[in-house]
Amino acid sequence: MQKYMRWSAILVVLMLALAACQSGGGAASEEPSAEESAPPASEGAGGEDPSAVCDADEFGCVEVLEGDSIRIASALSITGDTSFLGNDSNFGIEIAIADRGEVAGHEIELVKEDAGCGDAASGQTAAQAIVADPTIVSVIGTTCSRTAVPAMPVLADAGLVMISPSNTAPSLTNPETEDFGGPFYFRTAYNDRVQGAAVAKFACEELGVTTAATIHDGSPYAEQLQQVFVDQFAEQCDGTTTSQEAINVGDTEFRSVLEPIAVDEPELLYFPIFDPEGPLITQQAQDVAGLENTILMGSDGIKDQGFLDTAGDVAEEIGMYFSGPDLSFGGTYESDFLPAYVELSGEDGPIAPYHAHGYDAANIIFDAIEAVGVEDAEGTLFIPKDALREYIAGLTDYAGLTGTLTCDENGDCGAEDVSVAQVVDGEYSEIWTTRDQ
Amino acid sequence: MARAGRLSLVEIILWGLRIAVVIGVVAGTWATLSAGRLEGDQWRTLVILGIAQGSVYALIALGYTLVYGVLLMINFAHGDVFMFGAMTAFFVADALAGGGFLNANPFLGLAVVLLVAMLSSTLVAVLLERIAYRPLRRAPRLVPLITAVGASLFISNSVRGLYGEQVKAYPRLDILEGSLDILGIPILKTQAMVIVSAVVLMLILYWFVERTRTGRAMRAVSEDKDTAALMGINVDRTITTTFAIGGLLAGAAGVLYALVFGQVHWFMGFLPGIKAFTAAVLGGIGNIVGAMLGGLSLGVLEQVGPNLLLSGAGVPSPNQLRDVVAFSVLVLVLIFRPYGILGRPETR
Amino acid sequence: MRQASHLRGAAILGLWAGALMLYLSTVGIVLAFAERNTVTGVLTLGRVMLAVPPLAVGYVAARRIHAVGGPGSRLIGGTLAGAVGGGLLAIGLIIASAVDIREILVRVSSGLIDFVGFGQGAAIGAFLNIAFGAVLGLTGAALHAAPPRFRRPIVAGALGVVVMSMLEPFLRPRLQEFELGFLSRLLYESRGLSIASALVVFGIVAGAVVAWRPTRATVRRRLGAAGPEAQSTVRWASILVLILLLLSLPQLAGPLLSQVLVLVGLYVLLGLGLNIVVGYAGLLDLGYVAFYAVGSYLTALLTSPTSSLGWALPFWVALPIVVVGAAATGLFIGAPVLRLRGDYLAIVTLGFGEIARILFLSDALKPWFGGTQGILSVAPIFGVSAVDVPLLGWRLTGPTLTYYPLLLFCIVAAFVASRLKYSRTGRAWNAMREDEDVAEATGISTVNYKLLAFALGASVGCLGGAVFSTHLQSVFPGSFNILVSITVLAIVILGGMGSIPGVVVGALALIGLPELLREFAEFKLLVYGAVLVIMMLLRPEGLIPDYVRRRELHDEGTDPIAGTGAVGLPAGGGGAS
Repeated sequence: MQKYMRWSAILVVLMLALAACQSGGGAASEEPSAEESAPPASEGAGGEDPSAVCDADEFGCVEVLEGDSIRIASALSITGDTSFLGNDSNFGIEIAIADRGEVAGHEIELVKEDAGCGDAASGQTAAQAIVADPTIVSVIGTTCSRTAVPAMPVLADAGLVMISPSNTAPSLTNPETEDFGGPFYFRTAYNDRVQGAAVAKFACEELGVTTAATIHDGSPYAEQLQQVFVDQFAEQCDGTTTSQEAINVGDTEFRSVLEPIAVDEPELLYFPIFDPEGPLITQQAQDVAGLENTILMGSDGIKDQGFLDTAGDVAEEIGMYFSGPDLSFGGTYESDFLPAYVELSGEDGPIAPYHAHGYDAANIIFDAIEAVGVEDAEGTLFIPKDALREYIAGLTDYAGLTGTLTCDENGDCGAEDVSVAQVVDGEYSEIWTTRDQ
Repeated sequence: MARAGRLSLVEIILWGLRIAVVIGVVAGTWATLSAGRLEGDQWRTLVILGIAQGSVYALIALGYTLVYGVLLMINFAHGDVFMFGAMTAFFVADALAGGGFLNANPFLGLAVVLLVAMLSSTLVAVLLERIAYRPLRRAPRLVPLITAVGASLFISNSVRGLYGEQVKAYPRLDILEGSLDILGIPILKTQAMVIVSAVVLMLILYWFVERTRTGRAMRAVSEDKDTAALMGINVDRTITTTFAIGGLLAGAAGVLYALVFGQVHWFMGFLPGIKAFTAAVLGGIGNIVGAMLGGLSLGVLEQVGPNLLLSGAGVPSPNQLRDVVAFSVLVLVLIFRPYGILGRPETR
Repeated sequence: MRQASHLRGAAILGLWAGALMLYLSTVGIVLAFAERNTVTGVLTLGRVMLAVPPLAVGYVAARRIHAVGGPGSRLIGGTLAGAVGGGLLAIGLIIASAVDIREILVRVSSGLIDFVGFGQGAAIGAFLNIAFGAVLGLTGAALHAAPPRFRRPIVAGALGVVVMSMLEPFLRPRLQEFELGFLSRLLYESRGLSIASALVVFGIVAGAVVAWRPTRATVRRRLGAAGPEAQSTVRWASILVLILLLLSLPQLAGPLLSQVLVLVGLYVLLGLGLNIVVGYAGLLDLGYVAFYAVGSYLTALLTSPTSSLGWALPFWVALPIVVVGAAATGLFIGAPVLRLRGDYLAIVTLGFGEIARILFLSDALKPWFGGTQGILSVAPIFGVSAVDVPLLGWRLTGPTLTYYPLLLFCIVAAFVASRLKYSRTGRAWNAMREDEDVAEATGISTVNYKLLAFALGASVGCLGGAVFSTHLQSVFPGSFNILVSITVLAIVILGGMGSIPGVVVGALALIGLPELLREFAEFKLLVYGAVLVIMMLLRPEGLIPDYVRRRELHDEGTDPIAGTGAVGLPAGGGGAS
């Protein structure tokens, strides 16, 4: 009995000791992991008092010592099958960093995290990794819409803003859905609500079709996009969707899906899916009787070099269409950005469509830092997190590479210009854009 | 195993399954046919698709069945052997097509590509046997099986690292464009080529196994390894030969597949591998004709099944469930007729 | 003559080393790790990777020669092996510099060539590689020649340096959290150890290894002499400390590492479940992910207000229903496959796993399972997203909160598993595993025991699924694919079939390590495959083997009679009985 009492006492003491240790240094670790900022009570360069600013800010400030770099993170899909998407956006960010040089007198450092694409958990893990590092100011990501969903609560809890260069799922900026990203979520990519509507408009007005069929591949992106198209198609010109089919990623034989579709002889077949299924469907549709007069259309999921290599000539021959972001950015895109991209990546050209969006996302963050950051007498920069978010939320008429950007109240900042392209001389050439409408 | 009381739960489940399957098949088929969305020649097209696809499965299945015959193990990595041949041959094909050689001399070009594929597949298969399987020949069943799974992962991911993740587009041959008219039925030239090549290869294999000494040795080893050894057969070499032949067939299948679908990538071996094994089991594992039959049946079932059974029942996107049909076939066959269509219970 | 054959043997070993180095380079591993500093300015992890093969073959060559050759020939052999290895790499380097093979071998970029050539161009780089290979081979041979009491500390010290350098991204934030930031600045420089700290770490680890044996002996002796009262006190104390450590681990580890711990914990749970099916009952289940998915989806359906059921039950109320549902699933999957053996069973379970995945994803079942969009708003495990612990001032949220119920489940599962192992059921499973027909003949109802194994394995797997869905507060079909099944299998195999501590070790190694080394994550599957093959070839009983298993696997391996299937092998050719 005595022995147990002795050990219980020791247990209690140990627990208290641990508690004391935690409360002193660690209790703060469970708070939004803002760097503890106890700025000296000196006047900042702009006459503002950093400590006042940081104390007033709900999430506190990120501290950047003089001579240190400002660290931003990217949470993109950089390994696996969709790595080209994430790497593409990373290139855009890196070019932005190179172009910008310095922000508020500090250099910029990019920390790359892998948010994956298929498994939602990797988005959460990437967010946790970022949040664990109190020197990170903002995040650019994710690549795939699904991984943004579990990441946002973690980031929002820490007061970190995330701007996505390629999430297009409408639910992320729809406050009525459970996927809603919240006040800390923004994107420079467009909302698929826009893409679906634009495709419907193109189908109704330019192509003049009244019947369509769709195929998706089980990914949330494809499934949502084709659904938006179907709804808009009906709404805009009473279009009928004869069938909505689905295939599996990894299948190779699609004629058995195309045959039933061909029975109704739809005038348009929209399949917003990815490689390698997209080019296969393009090729195999040629063999299916009943689809001879059907117009084929894909989306940005296959608007890449891989498709051109495998089915480019077929697409060119039949006049296939591709919806996607309007990449005719004009301005310095052709003259400066693309050559820098080729040089940095070692590729012949962009490997995915979302690099410029990454560029803009990065620059928006840089602008925001310069606007809300406060420096003290020793040259330490304090960046208040909530103020950063507010700045970005209020972004209006920002002249970005992808267009003139304004952020709405739900986080959509994208230029929302959708284009339709065809393959001409082995390259994608945009033949119609909402910008002209 | 006749314990009336204890068995009732299992028996109930199995009978339930039987009934559910029969009802499902009959009802689904009836609904589809009466809805009549697809017509006769469309069904026919689907069947031909199935036969072409099935021919590829059959070729791969032969490799499984041969190895199983001699070693009583599933070479899980066989699908990746198939992939490796196709991938390696891609570079040759690409090089040949670059100069226009391939289209100018299609038969010669194809022969070279085929040769490269078959040789590289054989190389991988033989290496696999030597390094991973031979040391484990006497180990409990679980061990080589797990090794095979590991080998499959290793090979496919090595290829991914070596050759890259991107899908690689096989050059298109002009002579394979378009379709033929055979007895009034349109068949794509690529499909015809696949079917004919598969049949030819299978015939050659059949002759080889039945009529040559090595084939006899293979059969002997698959009957009883130790007795065969006593009879003077070099068991090790026979087994290696078996793997090699399986590799040859898989390599050929790889090229055919690549020509039909136009692309190869590092993960392409996984699904066809599993389906080919399903085909081998369906036909009766260890049986060459069975593998052929199983492959063709599975191919047809896959293409026709979802449309026949499910679309009539109003199931949305029935073709998404294509693999469910394929695997269900596998499960059902193994439950109710484990020896497959042509198989026999093993004598030991 | 003998000398020549030794040398030839050494040279062949060298060729293997060279091949391995070439492989590591062309597959992309070397370059991926080239950015990570081990000792800043001196060594990167990529360089370490390239150094290991020649070192290893130097050691092995020395060992082989040692048996038959003289003292000097060991060193010569080792050096030769290393040099040949380096030479093969050098040849590769020269070819790669001369010919652009990037079209075929995509990883052979100029960056890689630069790295392998030490930035000195093809000719000098080639020479350097041969030289380094020789030196490393010599070192390996020397290590073999050295007495163990020198060898162990040196190897341990080197490993310690590597490990410490890998821990940098985790230690740094944690040290800062505990106001010990200066320590991390002292230790690390540019993400790797500084030269000074590397030496210090080396010294400490080597010293610890040297001191380990005598210290342990002393402790044992003192303890033995102290009497039973003191011994049990010590035992209680250790258990207490362990419990305290486990309970406060999330606080010490921080949110990121806690997330890793949760992932590891999930796989430990899954591994424990699969262990019952594969390890105890010997049924190779390649579709274990089906249970994981069922558990996740059931939990989501029951607890989410927006699911098709919409009952919105609290987690702990839904849990028993999930477990029952799990057991039913286990029975349902187990019943049809009862008569199947070995390979067939594996494929069928694989099929079930795929069927489950597709069904959950499908449009056809979308009204129930949500299709590709999955199910959201799954209830958090305690109904609230954060819990404040009163006395300690801890705020538990997210992974630090999920950790505790997960820990509880793991302990319960481990407890159940270990009781089963030594019970009558466990012995019945053993018998079934060894020879099913004989077991049946001795009166064991294999039907029932197989079903039991499936049901139990399913329950544990579903438990894991339940925690998974509440942790993410959502469930998406993309999380459930065959790779999960294979990963869990790899964990069980690596740790040791039938071994409970083995599962923990396996999960830490195969799940924890990729999180630790982000560069490694890209090659995760490659490593899993290699691990499976290597383990089966060298140590099929696993890292922490179960005694029974080890005997089983090794005895049969050497017994020629056992191979005919008369005794020992699961008979029946993989078909039905």
